[in-house]
Amino acid sequence: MNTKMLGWATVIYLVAMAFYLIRLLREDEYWGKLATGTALFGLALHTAGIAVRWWESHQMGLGHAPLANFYESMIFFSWAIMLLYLIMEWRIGSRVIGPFVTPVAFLSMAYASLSPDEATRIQPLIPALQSNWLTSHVVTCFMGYGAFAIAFGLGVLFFARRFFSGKENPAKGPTGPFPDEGAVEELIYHSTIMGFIFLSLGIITGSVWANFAWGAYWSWDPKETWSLITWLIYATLLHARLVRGWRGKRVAVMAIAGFASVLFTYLGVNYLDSLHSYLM
Amino acid sequence: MQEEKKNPKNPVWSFFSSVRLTLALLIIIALAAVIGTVVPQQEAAGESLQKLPPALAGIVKFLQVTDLYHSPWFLLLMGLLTVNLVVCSLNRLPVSLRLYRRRPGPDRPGLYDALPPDRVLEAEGGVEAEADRMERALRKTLGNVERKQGDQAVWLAAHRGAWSYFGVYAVHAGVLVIILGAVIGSILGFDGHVNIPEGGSVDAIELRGGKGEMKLGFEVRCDDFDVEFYDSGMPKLYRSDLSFMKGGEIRARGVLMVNHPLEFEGIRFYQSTYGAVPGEAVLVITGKGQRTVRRARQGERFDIEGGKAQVEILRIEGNLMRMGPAVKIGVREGDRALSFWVFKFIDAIEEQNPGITRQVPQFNAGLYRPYRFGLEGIETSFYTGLKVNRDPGVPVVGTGAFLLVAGFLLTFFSSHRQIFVRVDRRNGKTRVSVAGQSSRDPAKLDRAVARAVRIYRGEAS
Ligand code: HEM
Repeated sequence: MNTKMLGWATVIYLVAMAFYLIRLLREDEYWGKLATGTALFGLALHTAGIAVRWWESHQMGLGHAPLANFYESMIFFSWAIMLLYLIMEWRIGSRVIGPFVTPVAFLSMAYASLSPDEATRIQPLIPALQSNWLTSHVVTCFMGYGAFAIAFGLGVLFFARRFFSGKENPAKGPTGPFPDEGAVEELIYHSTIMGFIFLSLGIITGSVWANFAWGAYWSWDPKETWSLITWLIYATLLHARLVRGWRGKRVAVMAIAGFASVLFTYLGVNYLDSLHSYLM
Repeated sequence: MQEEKKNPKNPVWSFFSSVRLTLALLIIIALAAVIGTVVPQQEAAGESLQKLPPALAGIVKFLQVTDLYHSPWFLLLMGLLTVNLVVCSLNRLPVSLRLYRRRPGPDRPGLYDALPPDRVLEAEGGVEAEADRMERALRKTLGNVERKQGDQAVWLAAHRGAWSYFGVYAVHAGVLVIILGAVIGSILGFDGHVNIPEGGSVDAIELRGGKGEMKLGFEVRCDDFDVEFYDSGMPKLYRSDLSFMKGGEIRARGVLMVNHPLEFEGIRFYQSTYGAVPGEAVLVITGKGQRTVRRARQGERFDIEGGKAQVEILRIEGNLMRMGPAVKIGVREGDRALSFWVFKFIDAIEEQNPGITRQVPQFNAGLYRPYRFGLEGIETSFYTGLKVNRDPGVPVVGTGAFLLVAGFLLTFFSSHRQIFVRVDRRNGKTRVSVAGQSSRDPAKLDRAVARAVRIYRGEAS
């Protein structure tokens, strides 16, 4: 049941993505409203899917939040992206970021749906995961990843804008359907701050949990270490921007590079030996 | 922002107060950490090192990348970051203090010159009365209002959130306190491991990194160890029942599970691993009108036939060739020697493969006539593997984490908002001009100004 709902949410995100793209190309808010409506509907279904999955796990007598394996984490990652994105769209009153963020959410869902049947089933928790900290750790980490995904989408938008607007004075004024560079850059900064705070909370909750489960708040396990690397990259971005006055292109490049590190923390680390490997 | 302007004379100071150094350190530490996740660390490193050509292995050893996070050069990097942070903060503190204390006057020239039209209000009352009304509105929105009386005009200055200038210090102090906690833990703490067989007890643990044994000062007994599995074969529960004893007397008992450590006399115990030790085989020997039950471990020997023959347990298998538990037995009588397997489920095996014990003498438990061996079962006994440590740095690290998060909230979600108002007369009317200034969040300031204006007009309260 829940996997069907999540499957439909995936399809709906694909449609929303197409609408956002059409809106961008035709500069027509009719499509924009359609895109937002579709995305909201997808998110509602997505949320319901997660809730049903949770409920079903209780029916099965397992009773845990659906955040316990790789499949479930991909689903939540996508959920966090869409939630943060729609909040952002509402706050800034512009749909221009949609075409650059919805693909990440869609791909995450689609990749999750490729998981083998076995992985999509609700599984009981192994002893290490039987902790109250599981939920707060995963939620904070993935909210952070979601915010960084948006910063990444904005970084891509930054360069897409330069590409479309040609060489003539890209820094000034709105170009066609795009907001000006300063505004994009400001949004990257704010998304990065959200991501940085959530990632910090994710590392802290993870350390508290590790201190209960493994008897050490920090063991230089590859996943821990990569989360620290990601954290350091974004700390560098914040300092370079605030104190050394980096703006524009450099900030966009760092937002993209930072997200590469996020993805490696999330996915790549599984190819290294890790205590965290039960997430695969 | 206004860094590096003090102490231009001292090059060491200006080196350490530079944010360029910070950027370099953050990147280098990140790169070093990457290396640490690619190169096998500590115990895991040994094997991989042997596969490398000796010259390369020499370089790897010299750089100590196989215990990178404890290597002197990594610690040096962390030390540099620490000094950088301290110097940087000390360097900036006077700047922030000045910003915190500074109250720019509401009657500065030019302050009200370029205001948008909606920030200049016209009023019916006199200057004093309108100023009173505005003062109340500002008190409600920002608090902290000061009034300046002029001949023709009244000025008001309100502000809120000056503390936010120190948010960054809380963040940086948080980082420092976390580093401090880690140092305290590595100097005053210890970290080790111990295996306790079910029913057994220990009074010492093995310290990590080959640092030898450490006496606990008390005894830990494992009264019971349990492991449960789900139907899928995934582990469900590891549980050790422990007793902590001193002088043969039980002082405390507890149930140890993953995620639920136990503490005794400041030392914490964590469920870490477990293992099965080859248990006893329970053999039933029948023959000559007698039936005896013997328990024996692998490698153990015992006599039968009144000492004429000796039996040795050669191997104990929990599941031999998918035919269930089996024990390989050797019988020696003088210079005659036999060996054969004794299966627990021999009846079922014979039923499925009729005649197997005749065709394969190795499977014939009656080979040593007239005796016949049966296997009642194999008792596996477990040991529980515990991680044992003490880390007095933990509360310090926790405090640092708290500071860090509090600092984030102060830095990113609060800002110093100031509103300045001039009330004067112009063209026979009372004019109220409202200007504002924010340390980081202009949108939030705009909202505060809008609210103050609404309250002033009586449209909100
Ligand atoms: C891992 C270590 C560090 C972390 C996590 C960290 C974190 C932060 C954060 C979150 C901010 C606020 C950024 C913003 O408002 O956009 C900040 C600002 C700043 N940091 Fe760091 N920092 C670290 C190390 C350092 C070091 C070593 C220095 C020493 C030079 C430093 C100097 C500064 C300065 C000067 C500011 C600007 C303060 C201001 O103008 O308001 N930071 N830091």
